[in-house]
Parts: sequence; structure tokens; C-alpha cells
Amino acid sequence: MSRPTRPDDSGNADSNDSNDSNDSNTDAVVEAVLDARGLRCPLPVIRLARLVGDNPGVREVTVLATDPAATHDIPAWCRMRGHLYLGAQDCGGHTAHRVGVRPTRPATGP
Amino acid sequence: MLDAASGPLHPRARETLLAALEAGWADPVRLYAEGRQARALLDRSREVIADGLGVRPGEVSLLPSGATALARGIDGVLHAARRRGAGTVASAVEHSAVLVAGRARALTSTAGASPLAEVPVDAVGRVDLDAWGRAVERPGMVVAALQSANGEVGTRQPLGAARELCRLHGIPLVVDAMASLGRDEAPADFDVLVGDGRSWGGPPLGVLVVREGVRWHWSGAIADVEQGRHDVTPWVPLALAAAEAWQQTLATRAQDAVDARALVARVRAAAALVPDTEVVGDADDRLPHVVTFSSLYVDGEAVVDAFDRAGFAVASGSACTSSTLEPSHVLAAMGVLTHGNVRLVLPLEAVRPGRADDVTAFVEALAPTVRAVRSRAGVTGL
Repeated sequence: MSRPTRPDDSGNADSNDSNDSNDSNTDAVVEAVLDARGLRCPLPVIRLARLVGDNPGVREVTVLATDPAATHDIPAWCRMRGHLYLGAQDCGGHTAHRVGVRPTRPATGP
Repeated sequence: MLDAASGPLHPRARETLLAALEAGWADPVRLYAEGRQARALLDRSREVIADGLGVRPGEVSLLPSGATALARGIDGVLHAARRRGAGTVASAVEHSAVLVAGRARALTSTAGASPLAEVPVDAVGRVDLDAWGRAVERPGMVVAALQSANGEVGTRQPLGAARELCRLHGIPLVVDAMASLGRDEAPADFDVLVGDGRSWGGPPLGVLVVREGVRWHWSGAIADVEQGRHDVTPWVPLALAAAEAWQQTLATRAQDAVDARALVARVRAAAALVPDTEVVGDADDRLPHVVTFSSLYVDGEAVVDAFDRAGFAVASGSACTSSTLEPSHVLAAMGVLTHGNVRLVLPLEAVRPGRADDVTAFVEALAPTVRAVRSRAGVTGL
């Protein structure tokens, strides 16, 4: 379901301020698109958390979602997890939510 | 039973209802003895309710439901003010009887003649008074609606300050007390007040109070039934049962609220210890008997089902538990997590003796139940 993508250029061209990360993994994928269209809550947020957890280099995720709850729950997840919600764009049949990922994952509960 | 938003009946209300089937069945407008008796019983019920609210019986009308009374309360102000404007101000967490109807009026009116200003709330669900002030001063705004407290998250609203801002612009304030009557102190800062018998252990019965002097006229008034605020006389047994429950509940309200608040505090503390769980709503300035929390990565339907199988009836504001598959507009307006939501509305002690034991058992079951739901969904440690 998730399709992490790596830009062709080698530099981290993201607009967020994650460049000072001491994550030296040069293979890090910096941007990712998560296609959560058709999934109902809480699945879009679960897939988003899983993508971010599995890909520590990801700095920005675009989540495509049709679930109306995602509009509220993705920003709430960002707040609870210390990530940055960058906004939503209406793409006709679905919404694209942009998430800026904080470089180091905060500790999670058991 | 931890979802008392719509019952069960107070045992005394149940007795009264059954007895009233014998004594109060007649139509109060009939002139024979049974009709006169029914009229006397209806008048008495109205007096009891008015007395507990600190208003006059003539200011009280009884309608079929709280939602009907709320819609009617707003309609009457709008109709009376129709030459000045048609705009409605309401907080973003108001009852859907306010918001859905208001949006429909805004959509169907020509050239935006009937706007609805939805005033935002903060993260605990309290209305933004600055935004409220800006909304009520907009030209064409003629009615404002605000809850005394929200029935989903418990947060009280600043009625006094909100009404003062309304008064500056000559706008009557309709206060929806459907979640709070019988649980919290009855509001005094209102021009129009709406309640529902269910919040105090009574049967479903709408209460509409229009203070004397408030310009109010129901657009559909056809007869002087219920002070011109409804088209049918209430069924007397329902009114009697609601009045009996009201009397019983008022007599024990203060202590019941103290006890409920302590029970809710235990649930809040237990929920806060569950990983990735947010307890929602104001921690102190709140209804005594309502508590809500949301757990990350948890399916609302699955968690309600898991609690049900463990013997607990709980509610949820999550999308998957609603018929529309839309999440609770209250949680959404607050910007809190809408999935994995669990809501408890504690019954009155008189309605459910031993509710403290129920809460104790729930507090023990809380963390393991959420953990089990997460484990089944494979989201542990995310």
C-alpha cells in the first residue's frame, strides 16, 4: 500500500528543517506517498505510523485518503507524535495530507 | 451500564408513569372530570419543572423531545426577529439540531440571507469568546445558541460571558442544557433554555423555557397549545414521570454530582495511563458524569465491542460507530483524535445503585481491553 519514493537528485531538498539530522544514512528515502484511499479509520493513521516507523529516513509523507476521519486524525497523530502537519489539499475524489516527519522518533508506549 | 445518555428511567419515574396511565390518560383539554384531572396533573408537572429551573410555569413548554425543543427555541427567535435579519451564531460543538438545520438554512436562503456562524472551540471544547464576540456583532445575526455543557466531552461553556456579548447586540441566547439538567446546577444565563427529561432520569420529554420579555414567536403557531410553542398537548403520564424524576434528582443532585465527579476522576486517571491515549475535555470545569478518551490506532467499533463483551455498555464518537460514518463533529472541532473513542455517561446513583462498582470494574478492565484490541489489530508498539 505504501510507495516510498526517492527523488533522483541526491540532496535533501525538503523544505522542512530536518537537514541537520545526524541520521547519516545516505540511502535514506526522504519523501513517501501513502495511498490510503478507500481505507477507513483508524487504518490510514496505522499505515502512516507503520511507514514512518519502517522508514526512518522519511522526512515527508503525503497521505492520500478518502476517509473523512483522516482529516482530523492525521493532524491529531502528528500532534501526539511530535510530527508536523503541513496541510491538506483537496484532489477531487480524495484528500492529500502532507506530514513533516520529525527526525528522531519519540519513544512509543508498549 | 455506563452509557446513561438516554435512560434508563429513575425508578420513581417508572412508578409514576405506570400510575399515571390510570390517573392521567385523558386529554387535558377535555371538559369532563378525567380531562380536568389530567389538566391539573399537567399543570402540576409544569410547576415542578419550572420551580427547579427558577422560572415561571408560563415560561415552560413541554415538547416531544429535547431536539424538537431546541429547533423550536431557535425557530421562535428567528421568526420574531425576521425583519432584522436571519443569521444564527452557534459554537462548532452544538447539537446537530442547531448545526444541521442552520447549515440547511444558510444553503437554501438566497444571497446568503440566513448565514450560520460556527464559532470555533479550543482543544478542550470551550468556545472562543473573542470569535463569539465577532460573530454576534456581524450584521443580520439575530439568534445565538450555546450549550451549558457538551454531552460528549463534558466541557462547560462560559454562558455568562457569552450572553453578555449577545446582549450588547440585542441577540437572545438559546442555551442547550440537554446534557446538564439534573447533573449540574441549572443555568441562569439564558433567554431561551432547552432541556430533555432523559438527563435527569425522566422519560424523553423536551423542555422549552422562553423567558418573559424575549421576542419569540413560533412560525408555525396555530393554537395556544403549550404557550403557542407546539401543536399538541403533551401526554400527561410522560410529563408527570418527568416531573417526578426531576424532583427526585434535584433532591440528591449535589451529592450525586460530587460522587460522579470522583468516579469520573478515577476513569480519567486510568485512561491517562494507557499508552497513546488522550483524555478529552476540560479536566475540572466540566459535567460531573461524562468522561471521554481516545486511543491511538484503535478502531472505535472494535473497542466498544470489546467492552461490551466484557460487560460494559459504553458509547463512542468514532466514525465507524456512527450511522453516517462521519466522526463526531465535537471531537473534530476540538482537533482531538476521533478514532478509538470511548465515552462514558454515568447513570444517576438512584437509577443504577452500585454504579461505583461498575466504574471500579471498568477502571480495571480499561487498559487490558485497549491492549487486547491493539494486539488483535497488530498495532502494538507502533
